Amino acid sequence: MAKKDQKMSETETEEEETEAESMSESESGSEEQKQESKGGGIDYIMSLPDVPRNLPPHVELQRTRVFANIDAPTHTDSIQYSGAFASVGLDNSFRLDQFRNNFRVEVIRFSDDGMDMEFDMIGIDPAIANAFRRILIAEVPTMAIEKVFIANNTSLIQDEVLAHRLGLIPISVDPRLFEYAENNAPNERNTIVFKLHVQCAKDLEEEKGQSKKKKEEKKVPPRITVKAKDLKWLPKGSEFYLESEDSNSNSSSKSKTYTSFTCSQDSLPKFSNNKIGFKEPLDDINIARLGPGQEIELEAQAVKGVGKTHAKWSPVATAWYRMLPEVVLLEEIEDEDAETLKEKCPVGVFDIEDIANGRKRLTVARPRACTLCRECIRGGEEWEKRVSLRRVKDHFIFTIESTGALPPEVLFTEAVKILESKCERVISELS
Amino acid sequence: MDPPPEQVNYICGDCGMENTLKPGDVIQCRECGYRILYKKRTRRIVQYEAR
Amino acid sequence: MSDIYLTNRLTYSLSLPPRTLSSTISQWCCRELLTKMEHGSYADNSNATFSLTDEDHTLANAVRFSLNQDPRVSFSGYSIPHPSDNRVNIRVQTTGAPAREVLKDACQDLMMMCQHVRSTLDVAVADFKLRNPPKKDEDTDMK
Repeated sequence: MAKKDQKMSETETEEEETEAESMSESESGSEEQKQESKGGGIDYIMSLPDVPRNLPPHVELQRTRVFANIDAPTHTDSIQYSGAFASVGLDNSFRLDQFRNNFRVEVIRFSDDGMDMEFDMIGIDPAIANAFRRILIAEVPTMAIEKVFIANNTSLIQDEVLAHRLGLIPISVDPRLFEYAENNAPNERNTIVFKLHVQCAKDLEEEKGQSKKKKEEKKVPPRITVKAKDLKWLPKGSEFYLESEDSNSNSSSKSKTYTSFTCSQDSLPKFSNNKIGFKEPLDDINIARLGPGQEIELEAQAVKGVGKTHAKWSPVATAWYRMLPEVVLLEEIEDEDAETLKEKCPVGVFDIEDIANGRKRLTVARPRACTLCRECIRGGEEWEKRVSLRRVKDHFIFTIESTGALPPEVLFTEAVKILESKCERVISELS
Repeated sequence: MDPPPEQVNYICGDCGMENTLKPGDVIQCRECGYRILYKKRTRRIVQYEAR
Repeated sequence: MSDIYLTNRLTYSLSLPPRTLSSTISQWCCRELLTKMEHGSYADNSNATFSLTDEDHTLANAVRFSLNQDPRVSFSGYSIPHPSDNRVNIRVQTTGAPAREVLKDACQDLMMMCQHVRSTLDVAVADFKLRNPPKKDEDTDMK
């Protein structure tokens, strides 16, 4: 109960604050109101489609916007408590139909290869948006190399470093086609086996024969760069035999390998027409460099996992969001001031338009580009009164960069499904 | 019944000759008599965790 | 526990490894932490702490948001007692309704929101791809 009282008193003090601020705002408001119709301010914000109109405008503004003031950001919290506005007779509790009406998704761009995506999520709480982001990074599974069996490695790169590098290579395969291996023996349903066998030519006859043509090249010993595409998929499983089996039963026809595949993976319908491997840009990843006569021979087993176990299983290079920046001119800025302000902004948020009589007026042309660096409100109080920098609290600009296993929109859908399954788990365990 | 002692290959530090030594052998290159020998990398499969 | 793992597996092949799913949720009265679990929860079911294993801020913060928007909730919050335990404690105090049911409803709300997010995104992506068809032919020409 003490907590509840505290919460109530918090909302009360909040009310007091907002009242105080509304006083100050109304004082300066009289001059502003003439110009606000075009330039912005409260009227502009209230005209936006996603702003509910049932709170006093200044409270509504503080509820929906973060203010980037010159000293510090204010009103950074999101008000979630159902009774937060009880004193003004408003119900802040969650209503699904309201959420459904307000929630929007707008896709902004896809990269040419379709693996990067930017979209706006509007009308959702940061708690949920952050859950999606966290799940994308840490809990959406992919396949990654987990075990490396090295038969020979005479290259400069050490075995363990080589194994680590192999683990980090993104594999372009749909992880939904596989099971988690856990402690089961590697089989065709949970493991992909790759073989890597590369050898660099010795600096001997064969090389000299070639280099007769170009005499300068004689002095350059052969070199090989091992790339991800040199990893060859073994649909039938491992080709290395277990040592103990080898020595004890040489005569027996079948000795055991490191995997126990019951059938070849390329005979399964899901892989028969799409071979597992490394897609176009990702097949060019360097694994090692070989000098003359050096050799690497190994087998690698890829299994399914999630990013919270190890980052190599994370399906995204990055997934992040930022809240929509909002730049509002509190008064009309013309002529010289307009030029100064346009020059001040390092990312070119402002633009200048010509109005009658050869005069110029400042406009906010690209608010999305704003980084809220606050350069435009630095340099005295007069600038702070001219421009207001804000962020829209429920408008998230989400960016997902996939590493290639799944396209970003599928990754996001999978992330949402994972949050759903988490909820389902809690419900079923409580029932 | 122990398996026969495995032969291990060494490379001479001087002439680069490959030598095969059994337990109890003198550590010396058969070719040039140099007494520093380097062990050749094993062909035995070594397992690593890719982490 | 095992039936949860099974249902998850059947409905959703991408779900978490069963290792992280085979977990427990225990409930007890907060004032008598860890002691007298049943007693606490039977005496007053409007206040409870739920301990979820193998969960973190991802779920707990989302559920807390959902709980806070429920008018029956007088207080809700979560904590991670120790960063090396994979566990969160979610505290729910209600104005009288059973905390367990309120938490279930909060999760239900969250699920409904997720389903709506998913369908909205699918529509938006399909719409975007219809408006901006992939221009592969041009790319090859450029090269």
